[in-house]
Amino acid sequence: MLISLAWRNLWRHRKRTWITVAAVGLTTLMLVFMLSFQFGIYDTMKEQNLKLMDGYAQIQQSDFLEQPNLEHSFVYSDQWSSVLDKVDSLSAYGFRAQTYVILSNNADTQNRGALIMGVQPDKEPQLSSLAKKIISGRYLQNSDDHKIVLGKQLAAQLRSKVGDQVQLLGEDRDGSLAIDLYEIVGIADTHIPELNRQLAQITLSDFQILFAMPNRAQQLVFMTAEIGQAADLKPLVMPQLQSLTDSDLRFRNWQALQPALDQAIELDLSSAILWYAALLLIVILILLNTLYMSILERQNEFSLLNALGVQPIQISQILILEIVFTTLLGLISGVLLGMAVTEYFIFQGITLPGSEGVFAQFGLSDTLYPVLSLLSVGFAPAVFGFGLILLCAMVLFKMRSLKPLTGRQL
Amino acid sequence: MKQKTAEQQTMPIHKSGNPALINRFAWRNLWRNPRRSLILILVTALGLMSSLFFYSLMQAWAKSMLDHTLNSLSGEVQLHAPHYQDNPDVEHSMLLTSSQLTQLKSLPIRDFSAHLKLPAMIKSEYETYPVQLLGVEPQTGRPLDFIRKTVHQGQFLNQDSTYQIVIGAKLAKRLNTDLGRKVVLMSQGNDGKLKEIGLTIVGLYRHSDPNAEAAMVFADLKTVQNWLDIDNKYSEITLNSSQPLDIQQILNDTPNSPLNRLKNRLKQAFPELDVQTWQSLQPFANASIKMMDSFNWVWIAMILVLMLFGMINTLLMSLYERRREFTTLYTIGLKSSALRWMLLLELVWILAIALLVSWGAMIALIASVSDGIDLGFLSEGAAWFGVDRILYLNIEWQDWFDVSAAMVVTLIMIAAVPIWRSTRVAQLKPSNRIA
Repeated sequence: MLISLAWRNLWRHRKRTWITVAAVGLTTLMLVFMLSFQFGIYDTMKEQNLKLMDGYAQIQQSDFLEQPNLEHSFVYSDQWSSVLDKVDSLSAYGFRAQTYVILSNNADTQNRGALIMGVQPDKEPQLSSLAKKIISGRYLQNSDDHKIVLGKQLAAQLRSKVGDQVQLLGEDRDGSLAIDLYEIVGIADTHIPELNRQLAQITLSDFQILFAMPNRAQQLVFMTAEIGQAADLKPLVMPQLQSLTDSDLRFRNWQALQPALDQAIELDLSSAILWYAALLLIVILILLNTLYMSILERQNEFSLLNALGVQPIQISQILILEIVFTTLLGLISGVLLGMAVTEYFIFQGITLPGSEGVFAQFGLSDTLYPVLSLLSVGFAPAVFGFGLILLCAMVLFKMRSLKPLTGRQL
Repeated sequence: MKQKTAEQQTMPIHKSGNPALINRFAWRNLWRNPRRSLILILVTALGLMSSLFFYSLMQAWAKSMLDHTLNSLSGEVQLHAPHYQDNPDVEHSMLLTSSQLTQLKSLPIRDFSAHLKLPAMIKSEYETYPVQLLGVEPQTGRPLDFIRKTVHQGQFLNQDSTYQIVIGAKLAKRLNTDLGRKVVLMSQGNDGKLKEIGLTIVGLYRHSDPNAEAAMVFADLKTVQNWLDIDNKYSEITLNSSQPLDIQQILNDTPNSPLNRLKNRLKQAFPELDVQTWQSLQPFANASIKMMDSFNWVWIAMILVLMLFGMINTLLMSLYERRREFTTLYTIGLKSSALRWMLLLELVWILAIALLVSWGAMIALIASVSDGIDLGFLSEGAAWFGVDRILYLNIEWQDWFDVSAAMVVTLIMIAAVPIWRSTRVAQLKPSNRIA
């Protein structure tokens, strides 16, 4: 009976109810969409940045992150594969090593500094999108001997093309001179000029011979189906791998590999949360105001009900039910509409015209896709739920002092 | 009991077109139901405050982005040799005679820097890393302040700084070297051959962007030119126009702005060089600054709509609740127009108090963070967006006024509709209300 009373009360002032429902609904709709859009951007940013080179997680020698040099490498063996192959969530893994060298063209008229990486060509296409970004020639193969892939700008600076030879000059792990000739088999374009100017890859076996690093690598790169799964790898692989080597290993999640990206997301999200909090606070105050006024306005009605034998607690229940209904109506319509709008853009994508150049800088394409998640859908309802508790507390407090209507008041 | 004023004693209520009296009614009405008024004031003040706060925050963000973009030796206008942007190396440096440099300095500019910016490798006894070498004239003024001020060990370069280098603290750590030690720089010379030079570290700097701290090294321009055999050659010339850029100028970019005039003059004077403004060199910063302004107004519109919901709802309730009062007032002679004014004035008072509260709170807030909001814990993230780690909130009187005016006027205009509807004569006729 209380329920039907409360429901009927709602429609005694339709306009008022609808305005409150609309305020809650509109806020929920906005929050569902905006949060989904933001999470969509974050996911794209993470995915595209990490898939380019770093992978979703890595195992490194403990000091490699701070000082990425040959000294900070680890020894691995064939037994590692038997450990790693047993992990179901691991979709790909591969070893890498890297150092800074000087590359010169054959005529020695051009010299450039470069970051040379030793990679496993059969594993690399699943770890990094680079293999798909070859614009001339081909990517490395396992059987390659003294072959090199260069970034577009680096090749141009060296005035070299596929088939030409370049000379590599560096220092090996013992500090001796490392020098050798390599034939360019492919040129890659990552669309990031700074990276293209540095990028050079050879096979890991070539690298290990040239830089005196037998069975050594600096990075074990992991790829999983979902980025979230990567963090769970640590307990699955770390204890076993550490027991197989004397080197001091560290597990690095994507946040450690790309701290700037992680912090950028955190910064953006925290400023956004500040906005949403302000928005929600305003709406909760609106709800509070509506409720408060309806209590004041209906003081006589409540007193009459009380005089007729309805207990104050039952009146409170009616009021609470009214506010719960109003909020629920707003929330349900807001969530449904918000999900519908988001779904539409999940299929359509959101294209911001003229933004290609701007987004390319951050490894994003110009079409962005929102992602619906429990957090994006649940954030507004959760905050409103909390607000409802406050409102209920207020109702109970106000109704405590309710007195039955006396003849004089009539 | 309060004493009635002479005005009230003498004036019959049916002639109450008197604005002062109506105003007094409105003011008293507010406090007949103080809690309702206070909640309404709170909602409005909160809406206004959040709009002002985010406006100021966005302005601070955009300003920081602009400073970050313009103050790291990049300037408002840059001159390069053609194709330097594609291949920023020694081959794409430009030769400038001293008379050309004098000509540049005589333009209407605030400051100027001609420097070399080249890729190089730096070697200590233990490590080798790639760096960006900046060959600068130590006496360059403001454009170098961004790094001069952050040297925390040793000193920045000066006129006697031949064969000296200033590097970031993070790079020093990576190289396992320190102040006073020597490092070797390697880069390509004019003839394409690799050249090496030994330099002494005389200063260590810190930078809000850890990646920049590990990558930028500074050496004396003449030393670098002699070493690489490129006398009078420069990679980049950066200029700042006579009037410092502000956000408003960026939003109202006209072909006739001081910046564009400077660009055109430079293009005429140096037709063989690539002249570009920061907008085309830093499209992200430019787009962000412009986008932030439009986004600000979207945000304000959103808050406004919600405030309207709250306000209209409360208004509808109070108008409904007070029907009897209006009918009574009308019956004893208050004109419907006076009633209308009274209700509008009630609204105006609420808005005025909310305005005072919100501005007061904002001024207090800004005073409490006068040292800036430190994003230090997210400094790499901030650098990713191209802003400094400290954001300074400012009192933007003009912008605040615009935002407040836009909100208050919209609120009054929309709230006037239900007020007008409930004070029509047909609504106020006693037969409609009191049985």
